[in-house]
Amino acid sequence: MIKSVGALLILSSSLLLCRERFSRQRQKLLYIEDLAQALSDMASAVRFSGLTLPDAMAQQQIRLWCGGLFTAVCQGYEQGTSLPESWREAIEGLDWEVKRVLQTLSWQGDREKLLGELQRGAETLRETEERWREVMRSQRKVQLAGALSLGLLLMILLI
Amino acid sequence: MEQHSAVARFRQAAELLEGKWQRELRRLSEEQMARCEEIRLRAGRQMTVLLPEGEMAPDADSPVVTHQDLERLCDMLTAYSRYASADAMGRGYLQTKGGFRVGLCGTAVLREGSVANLRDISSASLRIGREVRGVAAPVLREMMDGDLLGGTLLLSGPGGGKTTLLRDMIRCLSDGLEGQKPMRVALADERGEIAAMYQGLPQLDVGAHTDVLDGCPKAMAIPMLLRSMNPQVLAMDEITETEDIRAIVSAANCGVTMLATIHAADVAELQRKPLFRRLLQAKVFTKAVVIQRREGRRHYLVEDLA
Repeated sequence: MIKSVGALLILSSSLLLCRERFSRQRQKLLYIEDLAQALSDMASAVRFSGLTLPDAMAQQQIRLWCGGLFTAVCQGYEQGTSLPESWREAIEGLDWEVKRVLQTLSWQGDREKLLGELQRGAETLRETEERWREVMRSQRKVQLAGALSLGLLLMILLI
Repeated sequence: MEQHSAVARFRQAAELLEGKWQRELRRLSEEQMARCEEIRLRAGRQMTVLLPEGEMAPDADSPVVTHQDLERLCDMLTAYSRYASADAMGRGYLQTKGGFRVGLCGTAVLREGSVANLRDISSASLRIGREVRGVAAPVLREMMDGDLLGGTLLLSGPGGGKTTLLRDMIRCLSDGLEGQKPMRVALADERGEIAAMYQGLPQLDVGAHTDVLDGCPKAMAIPMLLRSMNPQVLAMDEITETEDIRAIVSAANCGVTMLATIHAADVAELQRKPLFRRLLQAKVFTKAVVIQRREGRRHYLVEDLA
C-alpha cells in the first residue's frame, strides 16, 4: 500500500513539473505575441497619428506581458538617456532570439525606415513565435511521455 | 529678480543640449547668461553664444562642434522622431518644449518645388525667447482711447523686441488692463514664436482669453480665426507677403482690431516699401509703435499713422 502511494506521488510530481514547465513556455509565447502586436501598434501610431516614438512607446506600457519593457525604455529616456540607448539597456535581459530581433530596431527618425523596421520586427517575432510553438508542442509530447514512462517504471519497480 | 529669471531661462534652454555643451555653457558668468540671446552650433566651429555686443565662445578651449553632434541634437529635439517634425524642419526650425525655437541649416530636401525637409544639418541656432512682463502696459495706456484700441503696427529692426512687446500686449489685452475688461484675442502664430505652443499648451503667457492657431500661414489663419473664434483683437507676427496684407484688409472690414509686427526701423521706412505702402493706404492700422534701442535700453514711441 505504502509503495503504491509512493509511486503515485512520484507520478503526480512528474506531472506537476511538466505542467510548471509548460506554463513557463506558454508565458514565453504570450510575451513574444504581445511584443509583436506592440510593434505593429507602434507602426500604426506613427503612420496614422504621427506620434513621436516616445509617445508611441508610452502607449504600449499598459500591455499585460511586454508593458514592462516599454516602461523601462520610457523611464530611461525621461531620465536623460538617449532613446536607442534606453532601448538597448531594456532589451538586455531578454531571450537571445527576441533580443536579436529587437536589436535591429535602430530608432532613427526616418519614417519609412522606421515603419519598415517595425513591421519586419513584428513579422519576425510572429515567425519566431510560430516556430517556438511547434518546438514546444513536440517537446511537450516527449516530456509528457517521458514523465509518464518514468513514473510507471518507478511504480513497476516499487510494487 | 529680472536677471534671476533670465538666467533660469538660459539654463532651461541649455538643458536642450547634450551634457558636454551644457558644461561649456556653465563657464559663462550669470550676467552673460542673462544677456544671452542665442546659442549657436556650427559644424567644424566652436559653439558660440550671441550677446548684444556680438558672438563669443564660452571658453577658448571649447570643443569643436561636429556634424554628428548636430545630428544628435536634431534627434534629441525631435524625440528621435524627425518624421513628426518634417514640416517644421522644412521651414528651417524646430519648436521645443519651453517655447524655445531652434533654427537649422543644412541641405534642403526638395519635393515638388518646396523644401520638404533638411538633411546633413550644418548649423543650429537656439534662440532664447524671453517674456518681459509689464513692458506693454504703459504703451497700451498711451495708445488706447478709453476702452478703444485701434489697429497697431509694431516696428523695429531685427532683434528689436517686436515679438516680446506683441506677446505682452496680447497678454495685457487678454487678461484685461487695470480697470478694463478682458478682450477675446485670436493669435495667428505662424512661426510659433509668440505663444510657443507645445502639445497644445502655450509655453509663454499670452493671457487667459487668447486662442492660438499656430503653424498656419497668416493668409489662411486670419479667416479661420475670424470664422471660428469671433475675436475682438487679432494678433500676428511679421507681415511679409501680399497674401497676408490681403487677408488683413478683409478682416479689418469685420470690425476686429489688428495687432501686427513688421521689420522696419520707423514709419518712414515703412512708407518707402511698396508692399507696406499699400497696407498704410488701406488704413487698417491707425497707430505704430516704433521700438528704438538707445544706451542699451528700449524706447517705445507711439506714432499716428492716419
